[in-house]
Amino acid sequence: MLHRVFAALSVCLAAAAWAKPPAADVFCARYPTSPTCVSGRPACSYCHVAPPQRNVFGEALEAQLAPGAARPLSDGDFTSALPGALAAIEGADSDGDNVSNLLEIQKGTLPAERRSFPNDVPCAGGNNPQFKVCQYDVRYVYRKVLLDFCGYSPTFAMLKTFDALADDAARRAFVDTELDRCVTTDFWRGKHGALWKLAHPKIRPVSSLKSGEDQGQIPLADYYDDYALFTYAHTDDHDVREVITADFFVQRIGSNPTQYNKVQALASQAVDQAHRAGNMTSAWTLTYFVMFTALPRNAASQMYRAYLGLDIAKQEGLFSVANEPRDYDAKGVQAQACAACHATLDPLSYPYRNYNGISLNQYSNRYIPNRLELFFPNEASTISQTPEAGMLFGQPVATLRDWARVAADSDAFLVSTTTDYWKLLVGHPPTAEENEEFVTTWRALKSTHNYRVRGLLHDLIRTEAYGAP
Amino acid sequence: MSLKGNGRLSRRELMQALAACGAGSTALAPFLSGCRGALDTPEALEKRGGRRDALDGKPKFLITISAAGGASIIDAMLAVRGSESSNGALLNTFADAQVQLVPNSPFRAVKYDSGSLGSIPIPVHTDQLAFVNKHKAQMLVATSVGTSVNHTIAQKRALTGNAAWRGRTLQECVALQWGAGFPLPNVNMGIGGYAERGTDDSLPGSVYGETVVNPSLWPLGLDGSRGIQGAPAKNVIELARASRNRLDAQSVFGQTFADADAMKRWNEQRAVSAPRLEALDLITNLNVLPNLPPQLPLTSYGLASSPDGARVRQVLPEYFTDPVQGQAAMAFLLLKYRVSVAVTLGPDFNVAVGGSSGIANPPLAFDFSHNDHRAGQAFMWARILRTVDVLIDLLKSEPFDATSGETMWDRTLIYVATDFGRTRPRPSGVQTFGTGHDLNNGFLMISPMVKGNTVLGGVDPNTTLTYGFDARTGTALPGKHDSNEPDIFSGVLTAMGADLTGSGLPDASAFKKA
Amino acid sequence: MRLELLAVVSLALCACPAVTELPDAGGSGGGSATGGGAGGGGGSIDLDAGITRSAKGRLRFKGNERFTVDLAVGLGGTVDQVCKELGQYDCSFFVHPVALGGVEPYGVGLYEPPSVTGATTSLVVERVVLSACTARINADLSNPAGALIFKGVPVSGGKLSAVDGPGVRALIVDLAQRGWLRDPSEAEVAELVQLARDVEVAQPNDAAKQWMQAACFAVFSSAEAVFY
Repeated sequence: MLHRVFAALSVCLAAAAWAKPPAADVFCARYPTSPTCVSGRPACSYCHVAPPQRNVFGEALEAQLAPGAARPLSDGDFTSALPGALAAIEGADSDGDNVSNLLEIQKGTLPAERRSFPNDVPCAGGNNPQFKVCQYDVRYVYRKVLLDFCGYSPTFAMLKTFDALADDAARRAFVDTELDRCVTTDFWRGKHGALWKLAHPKIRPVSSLKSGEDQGQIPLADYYDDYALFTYAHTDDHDVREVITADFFVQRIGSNPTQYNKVQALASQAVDQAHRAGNMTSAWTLTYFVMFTALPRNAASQMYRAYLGLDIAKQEGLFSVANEPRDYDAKGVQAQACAACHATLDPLSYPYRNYNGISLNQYSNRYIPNRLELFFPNEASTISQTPEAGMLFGQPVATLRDWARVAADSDAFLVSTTTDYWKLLVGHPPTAEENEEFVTTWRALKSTHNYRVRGLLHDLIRTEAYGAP
Repeated sequence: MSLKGNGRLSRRELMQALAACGAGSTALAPFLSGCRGALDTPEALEKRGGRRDALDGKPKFLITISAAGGASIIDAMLAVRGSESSNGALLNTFADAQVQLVPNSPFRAVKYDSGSLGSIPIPVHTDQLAFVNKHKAQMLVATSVGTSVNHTIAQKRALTGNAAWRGRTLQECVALQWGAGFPLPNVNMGIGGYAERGTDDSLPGSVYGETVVNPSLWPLGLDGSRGIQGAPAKNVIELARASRNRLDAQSVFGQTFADADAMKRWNEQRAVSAPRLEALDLITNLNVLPNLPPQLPLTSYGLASSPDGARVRQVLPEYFTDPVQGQAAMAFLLLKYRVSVAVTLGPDFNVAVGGSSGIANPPLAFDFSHNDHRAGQAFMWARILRTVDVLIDLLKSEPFDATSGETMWDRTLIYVATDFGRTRPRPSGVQTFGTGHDLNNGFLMISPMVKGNTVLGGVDPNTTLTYGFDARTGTALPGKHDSNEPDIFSGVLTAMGADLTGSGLPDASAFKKA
Repeated sequence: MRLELLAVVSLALCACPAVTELPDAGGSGGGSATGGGAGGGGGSIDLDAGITRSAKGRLRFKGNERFTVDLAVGLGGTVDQVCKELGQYDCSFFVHPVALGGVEPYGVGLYEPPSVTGATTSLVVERVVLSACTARINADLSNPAGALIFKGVPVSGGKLSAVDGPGVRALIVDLAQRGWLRDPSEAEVAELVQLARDVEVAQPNDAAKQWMQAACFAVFSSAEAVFY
């Protein structure tokens, strides 16, 4: 089994040989205050349906882009011509929603999508018997906070008590206290609780492959450890970045309240301390996302998606690296249909080269120097040339731990973390109208709260987006 | 209503027309296509490439089998013998005896035997020949090149043709075309990208998929009060509902949020959707469970098994433990009882117990090919084909229309959707090897409505890559390897005779039975 | 079929919430209707004054957990007592979690809750509410001395002795406080009293109990009780 060669997962994303990765930088240089740039960078889909097919905004842009020049444009020519082309169509309304492209760019809506436009319809306020319509309503917030964080509504008697508080300041203080109480409950932090739900898309559990507690039919790894670290990082004054930077593990103990304790070793985890990067190197991540693969592109792209909110399959977060992809595993990713995405993805994946997935027990789910050379000698003639150093956001990273550190310190991590909670608590990703509050909130997670989620939650329930019925 | 010079409606007129057509009224059902088509002269329609069957007001049905993980067409109908290839030892070709030629057919059938399924110690013995011989006259394989090898993305694109028609899925198109008057036109039991709704938000809410994750127990939720011991009489329930609805309309809460989308949807669901479901007695008719106390004491709770329960259980005996069998049973019942026109089912990535070996579904379904390609593909293809075969037999046995003599099967198309193909290389001569994801593949469709016994495109034995075809004429185009997702999308709808007016879809006449 | 697996699967996949320390939803015990709600600044409400409609419309379905817990709290029971299909399979966390807006991450990879209510959601809500209400009513009627909610309503020959009596009114107020977290308006009291009269015509032999079920159903399956 050890010597069995498993073919690698070829993540051949046929995206954007024609889409221009420099486009996002040029766009944001021209529109630095656009919400699209303040909290990230525009995805290829801003101008493309699926490259090379352009959407209506992209078509309008193309018509103004160095007209008459031979195609395809070089990156240099493209970069030079794009600002002028953008300027030329600012006054147009490409998607026919009666809002100019420029206004849509400024407001953060999509100039190629007619159902996306600034919704500045005035919300007439009014004091209904139970609601302060379109105004921040602390009583409404109290009811929501208990439901969102404790899992139940306040009772009639509790509301009476709340109403009897002296004034709105007292009520706000009371809500803050209740929030702090609720986040200690098992509804919020317990097994299968709200935080576990937040983690599902990141961990992607498969019950039949689970080992340990609630073991499945083919037990391979225990993803409850991943939920434990996730919940630990998001509670109790811990640094939320530890979800991908921790060099320790977390043990879940008891219930009501559920405790999450830091430990240096767990029987279910095998990566040595020097090579741990939180959930990026958990046994489950290596089992499920690395699996049998030589170059684990799937693991890298999932971490990029899960913790930075950037989905390469949707043409998000493309930072092409010069002379990439090198195609060390001979998967054909230099083909035109694959290269544009793999110029970002492959350098993201190299730091995983020595993290082994499913193998014989003594080799599974751990860091093994020269893994490719030992286990995948026949994968491709150039496989051993695969470097461990990679690139993230155009920045060199020597190891996966470096990858995790750069990622954890990035704005993308703040935006992604805040977006998760925004969706959980407001009910949808931030809209253009909510963008100002959203930006303030994610920035404060770092600047004010030093990456503690508790502060983020208190900020979030104070937003108009959360608190105005 | 006026037409612009280019034959298009103004935006406002378009919205009005869509609202009228998509209102979901039973009375409008037979005229839904006509409503759109009424704006066209036959000549104009023909000129713009609109193609559809005569409108008979009768529904057609689409069953989408989501072959999750990457069902490789060269491990089935387009398999290649080693002796046919100049690189056979290094590519995914089979020993000649394993690839069976099918008389009078372009299809092939793989016979595979192994003592294990990867590291799972269960034997794998499969033979596709019986299936192909039985159904070849109604089988069509179209080669394909996709645009993503990310599972979720590719799965969705297998259903949308990569946004070929404003992002709507095939199931949504079918639900829109033939589902008016059906209580749940589009039921989706798939996973991942197969379970996602399309991105065309302009469609009526009823055509988006209703998610079902536990088909055997799901019918218990199709009535608001039956099966609850000690529940009030039905007429009291109706009084209570009416009273509740008045309370909602009058309350401060109800009035404050009267304009909220969620409230409007809720009111519509309570007033329209729910009564339809109850009126059809679906808590009985869709209930495949037997009365089997103490685990399933149906009669004690005033419930009963479906009139079709026994025969469905007979052909899908593991309906309760094997999710795919449970889904297939539900798919048949949904069509038979005119609940849905589009149903989606397929394996998920979990292990399912069952079958003679004890494993009904390996982990990762077709993606188990990462571990053991040959055995994984053989096992999963057998699983899919067995399900398709059972569904066809059930639908053939079910009269559709007493006057025309049609069966349900005569009006059904089964589309075996899959994520992508698999990489072709293997270590020289090795029989047990793993594969990655590859854009190059092909799709299987089965229906009396498709051009049967047909392969559109072909396979180059020296690369084992498929090549393309002209979707209008069916002419094979060796050397064509560019993406053809819209062709596949259009091919399904064209074969079914859907009205594609205004879709901008490519002409895919080659898919349709002459 | 391997039915022996059913109970095991039911338990294994039932990701039931571990909510404890639930509040006691007992109402004020009073019998007054304040005229529309205890919100805003409290006090009586003049519905004729007009209600401002929210243009934001930020309304969310509670989802399987919150809905079920609120129902359990409102009716003074536990989550485990709310609803069991066929008497054994938990409605909210095993049989119908997705229809009720929940997730199914471990088995079928449904990681995020549906963004909208489904076509079957309202029916499942009704089943769950009806089960919970019926259980509470049966418990209270079988043990009047220990009754929690359905008490103090004189019954004669299966009918309410006095539809307009204080017992009925007090029960309506209590239900509203438990389900809507406010006092009912006079119009709402009148609506539920009228429901009693209608039920008496429809089911004269068992009118009292069936009205209790109907009234409980009307309150706890209302939009106000299942959205927030």
